[in-house]
Amino acid sequence: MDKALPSLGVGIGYREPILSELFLRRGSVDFLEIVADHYLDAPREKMKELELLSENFILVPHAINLSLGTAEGVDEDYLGKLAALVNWLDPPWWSEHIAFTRAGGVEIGHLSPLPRTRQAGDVFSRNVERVSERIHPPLILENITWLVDIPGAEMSEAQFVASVADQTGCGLLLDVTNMYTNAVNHGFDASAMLEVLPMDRVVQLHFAGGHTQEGVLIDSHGYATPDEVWDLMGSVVARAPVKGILLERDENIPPLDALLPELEQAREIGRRYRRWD
Amino acid sequence: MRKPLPTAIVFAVTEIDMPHFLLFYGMFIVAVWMGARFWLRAGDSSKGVAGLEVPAEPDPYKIAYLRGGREEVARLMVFKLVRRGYLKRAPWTGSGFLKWEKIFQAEGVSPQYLSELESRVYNQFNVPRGGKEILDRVPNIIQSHCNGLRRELEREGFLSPSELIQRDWFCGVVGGLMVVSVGGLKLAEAWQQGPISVAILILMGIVGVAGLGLLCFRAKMTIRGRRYLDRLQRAFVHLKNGPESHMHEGGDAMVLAVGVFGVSVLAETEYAYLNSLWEQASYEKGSVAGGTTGCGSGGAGGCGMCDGGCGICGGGDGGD
Repeated sequence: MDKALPSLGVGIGYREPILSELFLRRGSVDFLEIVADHYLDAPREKMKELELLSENFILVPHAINLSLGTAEGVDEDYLGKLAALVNWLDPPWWSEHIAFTRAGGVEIGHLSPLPRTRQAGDVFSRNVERVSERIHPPLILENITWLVDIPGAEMSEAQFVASVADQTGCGLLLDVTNMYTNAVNHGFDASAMLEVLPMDRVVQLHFAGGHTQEGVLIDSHGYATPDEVWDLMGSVVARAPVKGILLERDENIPPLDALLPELEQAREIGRRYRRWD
Repeated sequence: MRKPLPTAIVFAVTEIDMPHFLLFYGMFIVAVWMGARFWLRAGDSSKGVAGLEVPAEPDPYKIAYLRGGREEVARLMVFKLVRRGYLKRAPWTGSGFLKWEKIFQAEGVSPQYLSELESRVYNQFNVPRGGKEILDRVPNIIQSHCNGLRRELEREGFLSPSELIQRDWFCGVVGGLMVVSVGGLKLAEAWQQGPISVAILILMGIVGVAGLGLLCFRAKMTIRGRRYLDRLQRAFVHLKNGPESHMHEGGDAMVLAVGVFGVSVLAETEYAYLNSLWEQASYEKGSVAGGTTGCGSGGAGGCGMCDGGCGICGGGDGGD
């Protein structure tokens, strides 16, 4: 992966309730990830919020609905708006998921896993190529959680992610909580994925805590990060030239103070492996 | 014989019949406003956005001064002394509806840890003081400190230097004279046509001059200053609703909240009585500037909240 990418440190997914606290505790957060979709067709007030954030923090846009896995290609209208936003922000990188959210013109409403086949990889790669023509900062790709294993898989999850990264030339946003969640729900060893994934392509990590519902671990971004995820994060950071680690919190959002110990713990892991000072 | 141009214009204006003159006069006033606005914006070279980042450790006093001048700094300093336990609420005085809030020195608290400036302010409260008394005394005590804040804010392009303010005044006076003069040309004719014409003409003149006043005598805060204050208020917007829950690395978020938004943020807190204190001060002063809706003086948030800036409503800070 591109070694010229800057080392950002530790960040948090921006959510409006923590806006003022972020400004009060500037020293604790190195960068913010914004959900790009929140700023497409956004009202003026929302754009002013983005302007304020961009003047004061390093921002990394995170797209949700580009649907890079859709066979009929990306939505050009959506792509145009996303390109305008990302190119304006000019971030060190931006991210999307290895998933699809639209099929046959129908919005599915959530991130759906791709069939782990060469054909799906080709479609994905073609879409990424189209996106790269419009959006200049580098794209990194995130692994998602999945509940249903689509039949006909030609490779494992780790192999598929590695294959997609190789075909597209993109870096990886490795969500260690998603890795752990899939491992728990499907009964495999998450750390074994590290033997297959191209660790030199890992640029950024996501981490969060989920909850168990009816025997299934849900990646709800609503709870403290479990020890297993911290261990996995340590293993990844030891092997990969990670440039940034980011905490996601979408439910039960506490005061920022309550999340700072998790950020500090992640910062310490990065320091331990000399990913930043 | 050909008339000189100004005379010809005056002649042409007086020749317009009355209903059409009112239309012309309205358009003339708007044109003067637009010209004044253009003049003012051309003179304000502070419009750049560079350096508008929200500081990691914002200075509440500096922000308070930007927002509302010396009196806002005085209010903030008094609040800080109350917050730290050096001053406290005095029992109500008066009777019936007239119950005046006052504050005075708390017993058993040593002022040894106060700065020299804070000590001087603290010493004013050896007897209970009402809002008006406080605003009569404290702004004078903190004058030199405020001068320093003003110089800093001018250097950063957030406040207009005095030359620019004079320029704005000049613009306002010239524009006002033009509006009054042109209206005056037709006043005699309007008088002959009856009181309604006179009333309309005078009303238009008043509106024209008042509009110029809003444009030209605002204006200690520059465009850049207003943008900066807007950013601060956006960044710390959550402090408006529950500042007491936000302590931060650099100090007390409640003090910062009062600096950024004014004492109105104390409305739902244990310090709400300070709002009443300042409202009563405005009432006592009987000034437009001091009303609860006003800028800089009352309890409702200060000048940053109103686009007009501080010059017309900042309550006597012109000499800072």
